[in-house]
Amino acid sequence: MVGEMQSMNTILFYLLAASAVFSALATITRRSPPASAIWLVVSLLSVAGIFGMLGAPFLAALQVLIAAGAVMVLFLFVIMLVDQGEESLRPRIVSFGRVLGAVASGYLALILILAIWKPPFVEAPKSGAAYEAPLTLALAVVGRYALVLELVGVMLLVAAVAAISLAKRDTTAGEG
Amino acid sequence: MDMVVALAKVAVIFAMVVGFVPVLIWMERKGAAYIQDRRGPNRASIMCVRAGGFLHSIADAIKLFSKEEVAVAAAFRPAYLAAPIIAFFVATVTVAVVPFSEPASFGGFPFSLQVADLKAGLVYVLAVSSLGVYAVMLAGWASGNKFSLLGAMRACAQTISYELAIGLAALALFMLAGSLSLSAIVEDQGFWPWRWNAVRQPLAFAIFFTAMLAEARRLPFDLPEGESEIVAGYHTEYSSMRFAMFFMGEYAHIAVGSMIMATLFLGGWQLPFCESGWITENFNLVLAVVWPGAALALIAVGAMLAKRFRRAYRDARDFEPLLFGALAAAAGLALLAALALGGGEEIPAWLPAAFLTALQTLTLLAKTLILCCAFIWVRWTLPRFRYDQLMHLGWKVLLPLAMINVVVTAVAVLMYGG
Amino acid sequence: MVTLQHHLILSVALFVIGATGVVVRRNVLVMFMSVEIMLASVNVALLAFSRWTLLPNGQALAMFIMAVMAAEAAVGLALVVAFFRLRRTVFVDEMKLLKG
Repeated sequence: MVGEMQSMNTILFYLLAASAVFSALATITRRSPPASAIWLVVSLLSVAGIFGMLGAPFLAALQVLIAAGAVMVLFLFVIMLVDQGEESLRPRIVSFGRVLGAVASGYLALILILAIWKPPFVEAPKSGAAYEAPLTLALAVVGRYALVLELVGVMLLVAAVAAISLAKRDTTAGEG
Repeated sequence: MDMVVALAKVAVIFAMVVGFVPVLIWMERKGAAYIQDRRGPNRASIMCVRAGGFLHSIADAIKLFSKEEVAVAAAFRPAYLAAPIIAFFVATVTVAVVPFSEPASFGGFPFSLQVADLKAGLVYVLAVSSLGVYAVMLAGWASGNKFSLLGAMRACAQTISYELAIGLAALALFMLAGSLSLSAIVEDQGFWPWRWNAVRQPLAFAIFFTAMLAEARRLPFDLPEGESEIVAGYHTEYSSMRFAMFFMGEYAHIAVGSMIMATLFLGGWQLPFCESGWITENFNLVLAVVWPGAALALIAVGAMLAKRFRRAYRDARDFEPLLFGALAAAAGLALLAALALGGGEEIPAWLPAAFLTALQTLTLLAKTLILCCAFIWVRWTLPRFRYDQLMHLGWKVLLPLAMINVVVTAVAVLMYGG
Repeated sequence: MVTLQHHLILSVALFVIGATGVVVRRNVLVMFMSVEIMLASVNVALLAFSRWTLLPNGQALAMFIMAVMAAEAAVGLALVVAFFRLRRTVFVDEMKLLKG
């Protein structure tokens, strides 16, 4: 029974990880921006699934709610507003950008992986119900990170005001 | 074994939600008709059975299946095909966290009719309903039709505005119950009706109900589908089966929204004035009252129905009251016979728990139906909001009210210790 | 068995894909989306570390990062819309008003 759960966990992790990476690749390689946006939603949903597997169900739900449900909706709105049709994938300045991009990113990935591939290779320690409960997260947020919480609140207010004032149409008298 | 039980739960609950849709369609038509001082559809029949117009849903299904699929030069075909599926999916998946009954133990085997008791159940509901925006947006954009896009943009703006009000109204409930899981919220409400959240948080209930009307895009928040203005809005270019999915998705959304409201505000599966512990302890008494009572009630209903038989149409339709009356009376007599034959036997150990589960599920479904009736009542009474009135209501009225509610609740919880 | 290194490799992969997207694509909206991918990857890494040390700090930081993600998307998209009204383009090659 325990062995079953283990292997199911592993399969689920590989499935979600493959889905996240594949849809992220699809995001950066589509020609039409709305298609990119849809693939990004799929990627964010897979990442939310991984959050759930990492013992953070509250954060998984928040990821779906905020990233996939609000931010991406905003993205799709703006994309449809400024839809210029399909664009060529070839970057305008660097001529063999695709090959160069792949090589550079491969190199970056290689150095990062070499940095983290160290023992010990251990399983996750047993987490009680206390770790997964939203209560633990809440106590940490209002306890240890209270100042950060307040600052983030102020930042969100500033961002809301900034976004509204930036995107407002200029309707001063005498102009169109 | 756990896997089998879990799959069975999923199947039963999914069937319940999908089966709710025809009932809701029938209620909508009949409700609309009686509000408008007419009878509503009552002609569709199988042989002599008309069932008060219930069979019109089946006729609808047959019609939608057999309509022609109009091929559309869609802007983006995968999104065009996926949008109705997302609409239906989002509505049905929300039911995964709704508790239909109390956790009971069938001889040491714990069982509760709830697919997943997530610790963050309330946030899950909000998250899944925020995914419903994609169905509308993708449908409107991928249809390749300017009117559809316009309707979709309006629908999205409306939906995301009212999502905030829903979240803040639910936040107050979360403070009262101290937990995000829906089964904890239901248990916190207890069985006395004056302790249900609709009475403890009337403002939150009103806000949640209004915002849920807007989320489901029902009149008076009907602008995206403005039937007299932009044809059919975002589902103009959908025909036959795809439109049927949207149609079912909309009614499933109403049903599931009512279920969530019943769970959060009306005490969920709690039967008012009845403590479930009392029922399991005095089960002999309960069974002695309920069994003959149900039998006698069925026989009475059967007699009443049969009395209405008169040869008015002079064809097969006259026999319908007689048919249903005979069935009801036969069921009642069968129950009486079973009582007489097996009356003295031992009550099996699983019967109290099963009875309780069924009773609580029926209670939740009854509360859901009451809220659906309220939805239908509001739809056929109020005129449609204009777009700017809609936005004004969502941002300048509901949002400040919800925030004030949260602050007042927080102060009260702090002062009276919850 | 799924170890910490598995999650970190996933995080690296997503981060690198996002970085490539930012550098290679010329459409500012797709660049923004690549930044979102990078933020998601950072969240994965944070939550993985939080799970393996059983401290809630990583979860709290991940929550704040999500808030930052939302704010950044709002302001960034407002800027894109404002610039689009000015020059009717979303390609960064053509956003060169300060050039010269």
